[in-house]
Amino acid sequence: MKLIWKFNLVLLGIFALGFLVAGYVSYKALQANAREEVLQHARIMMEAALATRQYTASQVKPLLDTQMQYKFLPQTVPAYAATEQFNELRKKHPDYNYKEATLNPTNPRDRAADWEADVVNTFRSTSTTTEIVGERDTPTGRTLYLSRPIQIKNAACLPCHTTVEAAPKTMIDLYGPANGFGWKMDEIIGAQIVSVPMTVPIERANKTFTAFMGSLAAVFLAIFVLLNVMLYTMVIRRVTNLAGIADEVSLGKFDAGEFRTSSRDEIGVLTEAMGRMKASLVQAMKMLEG
Amino acid sequence: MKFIAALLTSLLAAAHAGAQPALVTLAEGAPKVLRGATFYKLVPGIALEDADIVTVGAKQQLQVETATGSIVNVTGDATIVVSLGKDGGLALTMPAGFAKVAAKMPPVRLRTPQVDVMAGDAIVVVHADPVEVFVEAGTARITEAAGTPRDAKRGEYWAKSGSTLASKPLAPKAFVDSLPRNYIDPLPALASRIKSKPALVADHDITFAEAEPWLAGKDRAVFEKRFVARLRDPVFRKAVAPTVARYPMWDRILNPEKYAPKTDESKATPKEAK
Repeated sequence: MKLIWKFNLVLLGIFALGFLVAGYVSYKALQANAREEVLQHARIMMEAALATRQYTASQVKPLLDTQMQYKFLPQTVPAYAATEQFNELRKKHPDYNYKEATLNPTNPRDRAADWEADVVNTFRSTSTTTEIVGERDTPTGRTLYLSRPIQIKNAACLPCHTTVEAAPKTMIDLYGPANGFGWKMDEIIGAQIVSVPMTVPIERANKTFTAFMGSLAAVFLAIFVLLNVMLYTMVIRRVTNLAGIADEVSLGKFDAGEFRTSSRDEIGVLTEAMGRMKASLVQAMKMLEG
Repeated sequence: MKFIAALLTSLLAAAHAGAQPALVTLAEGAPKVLRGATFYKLVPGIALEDADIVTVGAKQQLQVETATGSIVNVTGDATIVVSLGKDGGLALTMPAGFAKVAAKMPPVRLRTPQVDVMAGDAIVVVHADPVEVFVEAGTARITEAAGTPRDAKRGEYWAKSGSTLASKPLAPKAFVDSLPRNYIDPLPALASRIKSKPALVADHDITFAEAEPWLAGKDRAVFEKRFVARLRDPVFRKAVAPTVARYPMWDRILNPEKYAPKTDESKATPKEAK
């Protein structure tokens, strides 16, 4: 096997290995970054929802307490406010979702779907769990969800949710007496669930990965071509020329050519040495013939 | 020193309470007050007096605050008679319109055609006719003309159902929708913002047409006396003339000859005169 083939084979092997390792590592890192980015979005949205809840409870509700005597205003309910705020956001970002999924809600739109009920029940069964992150496929693509438990920690929540008799009449008038009662202090009654689409960040990560691997392949190709050109011009061609003359000289054809070089590199030194060797050989042969 | 300061403060408050037992703190539109026989424009800062008659138009609003901290807001097409108690209590006779009362003690009393509503440490909204009462906070006492007083509790809505007064645990939507928009919010206390006492500006003297409804009521004699000064006005006199016989006091003034002591000749029978 020619030297150049051996060299290229080794070079290709190294490049392929490097390509695979770099590809694997970068793919994993980009995917992890994309997921982390999605999770970060979800956390910010969860915090925004919590801020809306807090603002509603501390500032909006007290202003509307009197009006609540006349008609129930769901705008005073923190869960309603957070959901409505998110619904406004969804007008521009329809793939994002927020729900206060509740097992026994006052407002029917908060009723937990099957998979949401599983999340709520996980919180209920393991009280130490404070956050659940998961992924699921939806009609619009893969989404990541972040959920936190809704636990009754404020006794002010209970008048509306303990018994029908104790609840504000205006609330019963709006939502009826069937749902949203029987809640207890410290009970986990639902979960805040933020769903964020993964499609866009994952697509972005894939594009970055493709661009990175394409660049890497281009660099490898350029290095491969350059190394081959250099190997051919600096080593292969000169060694081949040297070998041809040496071969002719070994057969007694002293007029085959001269070992000439202007280079001072290793092959140049070898050429000069072989030139001297040829001269010595020519002189020795002349002495034998003479 | 502190005791003296507190005493002075309470004396000043008492003096203020005596001077301004019911202060107008909000007058939207152009509500007027009939004091004596003259209508005056109502503006914030004017103190209502006993026997004042306030007229509030359909799109007008009047808010009155007592020295004891009670707030009464009146709107709708209403003519209201003001009665002030010596204890600072306020009573309003209102045949029509809406009123929201945020009452402290002594109680505020609203007399409507069908019921009397008395609120002390309570917040009530009253529609005069047909009568509707909603208790926003505290307990109010509702008394029908010929009935026993009933306590209306927080959140209860009272209205006539047929001939009887009945309560519901919730204000009906129709009632809530008919309320002035600001009645579902707390009444703001505005008295502290009034720094000066404006002068009373006369609007016009009462005309006979305006006086006639009052003269036609059971308190005719009271209003005859109240409006007697208007007889100096030839226009008023001319308007009264055709029906003056209905008003004995005025008749005496305008037709003194009818009531003059009869002479011997006039006492003589026609037969004797001949």
